[in-house]
This record gives sequence, C-alpha cells and structure tokens, in this order.
Amino acid sequence: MNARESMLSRLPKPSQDPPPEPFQLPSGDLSRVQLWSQFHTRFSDLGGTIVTWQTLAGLSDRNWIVEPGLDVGQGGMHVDCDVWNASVGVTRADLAVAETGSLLLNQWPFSRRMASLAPPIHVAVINESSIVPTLDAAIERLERTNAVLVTGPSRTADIEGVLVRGVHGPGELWLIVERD
Amino acid sequence: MNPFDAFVRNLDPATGKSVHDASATKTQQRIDTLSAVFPDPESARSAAARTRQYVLDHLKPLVLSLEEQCHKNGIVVHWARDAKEARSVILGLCRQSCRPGAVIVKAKSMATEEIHLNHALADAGYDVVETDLGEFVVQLDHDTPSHIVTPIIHKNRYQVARLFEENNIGTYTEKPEELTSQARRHLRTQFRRAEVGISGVNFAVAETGRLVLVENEGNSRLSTTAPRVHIAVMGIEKVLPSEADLPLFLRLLAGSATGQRATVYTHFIHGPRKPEALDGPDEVHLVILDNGRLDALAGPYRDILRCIRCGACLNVCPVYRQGSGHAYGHVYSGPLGAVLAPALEGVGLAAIAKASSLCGACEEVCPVKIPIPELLLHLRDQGVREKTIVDPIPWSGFVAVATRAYLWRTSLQAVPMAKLVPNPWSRHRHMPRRDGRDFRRWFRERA
Repeated sequence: MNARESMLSRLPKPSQDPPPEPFQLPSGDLSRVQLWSQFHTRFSDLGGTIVTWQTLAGLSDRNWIVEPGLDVGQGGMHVDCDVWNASVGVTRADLAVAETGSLLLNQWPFSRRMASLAPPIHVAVINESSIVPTLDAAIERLERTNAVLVTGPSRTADIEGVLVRGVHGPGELWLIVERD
Repeated sequence: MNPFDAFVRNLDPATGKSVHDASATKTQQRIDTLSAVFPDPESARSAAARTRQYVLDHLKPLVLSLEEQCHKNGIVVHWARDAKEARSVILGLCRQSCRPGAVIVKAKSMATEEIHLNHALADAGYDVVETDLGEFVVQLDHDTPSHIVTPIIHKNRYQVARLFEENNIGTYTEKPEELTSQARRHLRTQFRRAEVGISGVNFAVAETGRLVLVENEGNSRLSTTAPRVHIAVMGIEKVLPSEADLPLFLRLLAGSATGQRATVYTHFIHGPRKPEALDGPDEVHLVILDNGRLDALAGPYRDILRCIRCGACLNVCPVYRQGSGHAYGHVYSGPLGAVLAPALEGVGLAAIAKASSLCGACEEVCPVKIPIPELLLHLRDQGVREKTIVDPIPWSGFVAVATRAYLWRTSLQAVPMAKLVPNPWSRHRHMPRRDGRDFRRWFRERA
C-alpha cells in the first residue's frame, strides 16, 4: 500500500454533520470616508505612509521597478528590470482593509510579485473605491490567483523583542490613493 | 532529578531572564490585541475550537477535497507516513530540480524541524539556509529553536552579535537594527541563488486548495516566490473547511502569537506561476505529513491536534518561563509540546508532562480551547501505569505514609522538625510556620 492509501485508510469515517457556520465580525455601517480614516490610523500605526505622486518625484534618481501597466508619469527615471537591484518597487493594490490597515495584492498575469517584496521601498497604488471594512470582506473577494495581504512594512522582533523594520521585505511601505 | 529540573538548574541567569521577560511581554500584548479585535473573545475561541474539532472529525473528506483542489490548481500533492518518508520525498524533489551544492532556502517551519530535514539535505550535499532571522541565528550557532514562534527567545543581542562576527556576517554591533541589516544583506545573496524554497503551511483550505502562510519578515514570501520550485510541508491536521473560516483563524493566530491584528504578510498560495505571469515558482509541491498524527487522532490526546501553533501557552506558562523550550528536550515545547511530543512519538516521552504545575493558564489562553491540563493529567496517569514515569523515592515514601492513618498522625507531629533536615526544596522557599495546635486536635476540642 502506498503512503496515500495507507494514510487515508487510517482516517476514521466521518459523521454527516454539517460544518459549523464560519465566524464573522460585524462589518458595521461605516461610510467610505470613515473606512479610509480607520484604515489610515491603522496603516500609520504600523509604519505605513500615505503619499502622493509628487513625493515620488524626489526619488527619480533611484533604481525603480514598476509593474507593467502602471504609468508612474515621471520622465527620466531609471526603470531597472533587475528587481534585486531596485530601490523602489511600484505595484497596484487591489483592496484596502480598514479593520487591519492591510493591502491585498493579487497576482494578475501582469503583476510582479517581486516588485512589492525585494526593493527597500514598496509603493502601492490603489483606487479610492477599493476599500472593505473587514478581513472577512477581503477574503470573500479573493480571486483564483496567488495573493498576499500586506499589513505594514516588513518587521521582526526576534532579537530581544526589539521591533526592527525592513528585515527581508520592504522597510518602507507607501500608499498612493487615486480618485476614481 | 527529572531532566527538566536538571536543565533549569544549569541555565545561566541571562538566558532565564531573556525567556521570562519576553514571554511576559507577549502574554500582555496578546490580551490587549484580542480584547481590541473581538467584541467577545470568548465566543471567538469557542467558534475556533468547534471548527478545529469538526476538522479532526472529518479529516478524510477534507483532506481528499484539499488534494483534488490542489491538483486542479497545479499543486502536486505528496504523502508521507513518517519523517523518513517525508525526507526522502523532499530530497527526491530537490534532486529533480537542482544538483548537490545548490542553495535551498527555508522559511521557518515546525513541520520541517520535526522531520529533521536540514540534516538530510545537508548530508545530500545541498547548501540549506534558514532565512527567518531567529532560525538563521539558530542554524549558525548549531543550536535548536527554544520557542515555536520566536526561536531565539533564549538569546540576547550580545550573543547574536558575537555569532555574526565569528561567522563573518558583519562587524560586532549591539544594535538590533544593524544586526538585522547584516542578516538581510547576507541572506539576500542566498535568495538570489536559491533554486528551491521550502516552507511550512499555517492553514490549507479544503474547499479551494489554497495554502495560507503567515509571517512578519518577508523571508517566507521570498522563499516561496523567488526560487523555481516551492515545496510546502504540512501536518495532515492543518486543514480548514472553507475560505470563510480563514478570517477568524488569521485574527486568532496573529493576536495570540505576537499581539498583532494581522501578521505583516499573509500569503494565499493558489498554485504555480501561470505561463504568462512575470514571476513566481514554476512548481509548487505540497507534502502531507502523518508522522504520528494519525496515531494521536485515534488516541486519548486527539484534542491536541486542534493546535494552530500560536505559542500563547508557552508564553503564559510559569514552567516554560523558568526553563525555555530547550528544557523539554523536544522540537515542540511548553504545555503544547508536553502533550504533542508524547502524542506523536509515544508515551515514552510522558515524563515531560511532569513539567507542569497544572495551573491551567495554558487552557485559558488557548485560541482553540485545548484542555491541556486534563491531557497532561491523563498522560501522567498513563506514564505511571506504563512505567515511563518513575516517581522519585521521596514520593513513594510520602504515599506509604499518607495512605496509613496512624503513620500520617505520627508523622504530623514531626513536621516542625522538618526544618532541621537540609533539603533542596527549602533553599528557595520557607516552610509554613506552624501556629499552635493542629487541625485534628482543634476538631476534637471544638465542642
């Protein structure tokens, strides 16, 4: 008997009970403005920063990696294709989650997973309408793709519990909110 | 003396303090976060316990569904009955993908610790690199993790700094920020060269075949994104029925483990890269591991399989705080480990169930309400019956006296003299002061 069959044969026959109802937090009835305000508080507490396109202009001398399809609108910057050497990675974010201050990044065919991961600064671009109140709402909207929920800059507290940002992922997380 | 006590007695004070302080801080952060996140944390814990119990009761259809969905998504599923089989499956996959000498990056995973994977890969000639900061330090120091969430809870910055200096990772510094960036620089080159990435799994969703991994540093994302091949290893019990179950468990895990509302990165892995995608691994493999779990499932300690490895019971445990995880002598430590280790490997390990005061704090903090003290008692009972727990002689003496009324009465008269007998117990404690008459006399004379 191979490993699969032998393991399956040892699993007991289940009852016909239905699974318990999934637990949900109430999503409340906050307006979009209130959701963004809650998001902003959480996002800033985690060390994230909300910026504008103008802020990025100050970094035009750095190596950038930009997700295809995003118009960063700055002439003259060096858009490097080696993601490991980039200082700034710019990608889209699909959802903002007010409850946790998180951003959901789906991997679409045009997405660059490494651009939100390897450079020390990750800039995410999001539509103002793409905000949901809770994790429940965000996970309900997961697509059949790989995805990552990013909640603040990369961090560790492994050495004596001291919080350090930017271990392996970006130490800076910036967000540009675009009006629809 | 049992091995736990022996270990604690020889523990240096700095290590003891690191473990104690970090555990206490994390316990407080857990309380603050969970009470802020949930209007009623108690009902959240009950719901999570119910779902995990449902999973254990319905593992067969859930695991079959997981396998089918993974297959649809392009994830190749492998099965392993024990550690040896798991190592050989993983080694086989590595050999298909790269030659000996190649770099294999590892994200923190208790399942791979459990099967002692690193040794097997190193023996086969691979350059295995742990990439979680704590695990990296442990690997450099030829040490083992002393906590399932924070592996170097027993080390301080000076020890890490000396280790990095000795291994040419960077120059000596006492700043955690600089030590962290030294590790980042060093590990970057490993990530770039790596041909295979190996990780654990926090939750696998039966309904959709999605593998969910949580972390804070980004090493797990890099390990599962940059190399051409990703191998995920999971204990067979780590399934959840549906995606709608995820939010509760993600909140409870992050809150209980590190006092966060959400970990920095939560990956929802759906499959290998699509042909048109710009990056991501070409192959994703899932190794489903038994290694004693199915024995545990059929036995009296099955509730321990509800565990989601948050480590809250370690942080809150007064015994763990005295000794660190190393005192337990097993990959899994703390109250969880004291039950899980013997449940997986047999009652021969039951002696670590003695390393508990049965205070019940572990059950109170457990996000899935595992009755750990009850399981520990059961384990002690079984251990004594099967003679894997041998009580020290003074206890059998106590039993002989305490079960004979006349001996007990006489010996009570002698209690005040006990102060005169030198014993290790009284070195750190005071005998209670006897205040006049004893209870028996008082009871007799009451009328």
